[in-house]
Amino acid sequence: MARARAASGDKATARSGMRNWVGAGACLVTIALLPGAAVLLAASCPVLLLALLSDRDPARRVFRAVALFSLAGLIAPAHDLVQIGYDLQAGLRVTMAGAATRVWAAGGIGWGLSELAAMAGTMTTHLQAELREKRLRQKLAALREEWELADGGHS
Amino acid sequence: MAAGGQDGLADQRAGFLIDRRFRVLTDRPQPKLGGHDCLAARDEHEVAGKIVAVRGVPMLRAELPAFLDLRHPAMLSHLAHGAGAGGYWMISEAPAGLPLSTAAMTVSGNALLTQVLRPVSMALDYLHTHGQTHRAIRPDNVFLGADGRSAILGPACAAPPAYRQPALYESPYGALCAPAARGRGTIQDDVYALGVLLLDLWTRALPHAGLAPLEIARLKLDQGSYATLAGNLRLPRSLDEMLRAMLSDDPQSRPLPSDLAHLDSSHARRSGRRASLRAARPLALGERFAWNRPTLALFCAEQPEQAVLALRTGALEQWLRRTADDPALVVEAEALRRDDLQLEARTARVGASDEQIEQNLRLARLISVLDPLAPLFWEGVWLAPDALGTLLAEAARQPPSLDPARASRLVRGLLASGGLEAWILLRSARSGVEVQRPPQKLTRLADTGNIELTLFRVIYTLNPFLPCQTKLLGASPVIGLREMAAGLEQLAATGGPITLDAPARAFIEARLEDQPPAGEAAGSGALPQSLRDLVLLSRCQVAARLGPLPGLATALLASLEPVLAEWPGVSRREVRLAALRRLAGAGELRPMLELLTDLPGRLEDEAAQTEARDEAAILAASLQAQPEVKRLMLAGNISAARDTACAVGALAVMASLLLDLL
Repeated sequence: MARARAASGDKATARSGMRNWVGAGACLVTIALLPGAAVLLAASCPVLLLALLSDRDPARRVFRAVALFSLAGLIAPAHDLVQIGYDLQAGLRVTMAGAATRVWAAGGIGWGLSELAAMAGTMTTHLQAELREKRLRQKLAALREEWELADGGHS
Repeated sequence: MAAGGQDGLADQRAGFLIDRRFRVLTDRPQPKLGGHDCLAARDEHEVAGKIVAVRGVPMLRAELPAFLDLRHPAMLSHLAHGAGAGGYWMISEAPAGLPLSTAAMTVSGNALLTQVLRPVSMALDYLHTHGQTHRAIRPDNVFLGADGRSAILGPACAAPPAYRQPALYESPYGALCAPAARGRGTIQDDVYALGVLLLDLWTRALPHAGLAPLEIARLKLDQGSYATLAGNLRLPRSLDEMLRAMLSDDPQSRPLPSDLAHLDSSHARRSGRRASLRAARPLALGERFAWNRPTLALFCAEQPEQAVLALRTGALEQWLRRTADDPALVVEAEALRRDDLQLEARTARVGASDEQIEQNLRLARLISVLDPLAPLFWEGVWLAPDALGTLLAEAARQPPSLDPARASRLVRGLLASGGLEAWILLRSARSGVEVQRPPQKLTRLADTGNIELTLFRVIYTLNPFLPCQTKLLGASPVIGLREMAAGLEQLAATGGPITLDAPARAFIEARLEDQPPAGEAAGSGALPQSLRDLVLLSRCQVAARLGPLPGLATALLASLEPVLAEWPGVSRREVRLAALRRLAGAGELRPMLELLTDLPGRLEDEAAQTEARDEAAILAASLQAQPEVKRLMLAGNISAARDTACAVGALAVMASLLLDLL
């Protein structure tokens, strides 16, 4: 069994390594073929990386929200880049023209929205729990009063 | 009877009616009759002749109604009876002449036989054939008839049997008993009293009249009744022989009234037994010397410790062996000594819970062996078993005569512990004389824990005409259930809660004995006291056919409301309480009882309470688990909120794409 577990771990490690190599390869290809897009993506990364590192949720909900909002902010600069060209100069120009700020702002909005939603969820939960507890206590008190039950439920 | 018209009008208003027919005129006292107070009375139907109302002693004879049907020319007829003016009254024919105690009568042997003995014997024979006894034959209760010569018996039912008989007129065994404890006896006891009456009329001064009853009994037992009463008196031979027979100490040796009524045949029964054989040497019991067995029996009763000592040392047995005419007696005494030794050994070994009862039974047995005709001796009291009710009633009325604790022991020992049955068996085997016993149901009545209640139950069951002696209603006599309910209703009007005391409770129970049970809850031993009172009073209301009793019902509320406190469910209880108050206001005791003993309703509410208890347990558990639930809810809600944020992000992407494309 231990051997099987070791074999399974080896396979996962091998898959992860493969994924890293494919990702690194794709980056290199992008840098080589589309240097402008690479510059734009690199400028957009810090917020995403920060969200990825700070999100402890296995489902990465904060990161996903930041990523989606960042993507929404990236669409217009990407369109500009397509129109201007894919070289390094075009990438730097689009980036410097405020694309990075826009993407970061969009990511920040996504992050903020996620936190606001979490706060709203927390408040709602507190309210719901309080109402439920109050309802239970009222019902229990009514039963105890009507049937003269002791705190343990016995009459 | 009213003579003038004005008197007649006054009579219409005065007094009270008995049986809706006989008007008792309370403002017209009459001379005493047989020692009883009398009032003038009048028949509203004007059928009866001259009548009087005789005031009865509270413990009236249970067979009183049977006397209503008895009519004899030599006996004053008993026409009706009923309560009124604070007492119980017998409507009786008024005697035409004076009582023999005051009448100037020609005293001769022949006159006594024809004018007194014959008519009275015929009346006694008539009573005997109807299963009754008179037990009140004494000079002040036998009257001269309309002809001024022949005697007529006075009322028999105005007092318990032999209650007012002087001890001289009683056989030695009757004289031993207190007046209330003599019992209805047999017709031979009436023959004995008639014999004493004849002797009294002859001598006009009986000897020993000033002695105490016990002294008279002792003399009669020692010397024999005839010797005690007649002494050295010289009587005509025929009268002497007849009186000897009539005054025999053994009832079975006395002539029957039918023999006496036909003077010719009376000679056949002149075989009165002599007084018990006198021993050659007496037996010393303490400082007393007994010369015959009946006297020894009396001394044994008076000195029980000495009697037991004589039994254990064998002195009694030896004396019997020398003197007794019946060898079986010696055998019985020997058996008694053996049993006594066994009893003593058992008592020493395990202790005796009923030691007092055993001692009483041993003494009663010893007395019965020595004198089979002696009455029952228990707890220091001589009594005829059927007089137990009268004796206890008098004890309750006049406590010094028999203290309540002793009366209670008497009831417990005789009825609950079977002492009476044991004695009756013994007595029947020894003397062959039938013993009048109290009703069988008393054994059941006596078998309860509350001795005071038991005592009163026995009293009221055995004395059907005894007024209730409850302190609740003060001095006004309560004869029946109707008066009881009406009295309580009146009492309730003065305010305050009402709780029945033992006499009232026992009185209602005894008087309801013949009524059908009115509720399934009746007789339920586990009920609280207030509810048992309600059971009784509701039955009383139904039996007495009384209307609503709102005062009584309201007065009972205070004690009944706590009964509902045990009912499950506050709101349900309040609904019932409101209903109970409404019914009390309407004065309906029976529906109140039904409400309080509604078993299906109670079970339903208890089931609901069990259900509520389970539900409460679930709710308590939910409350305990609330933090965990809250934590799970929090996690779920935050996830859902963040997912919503993601969804908004996706929408933003799509919107951005759409804007860019446009």
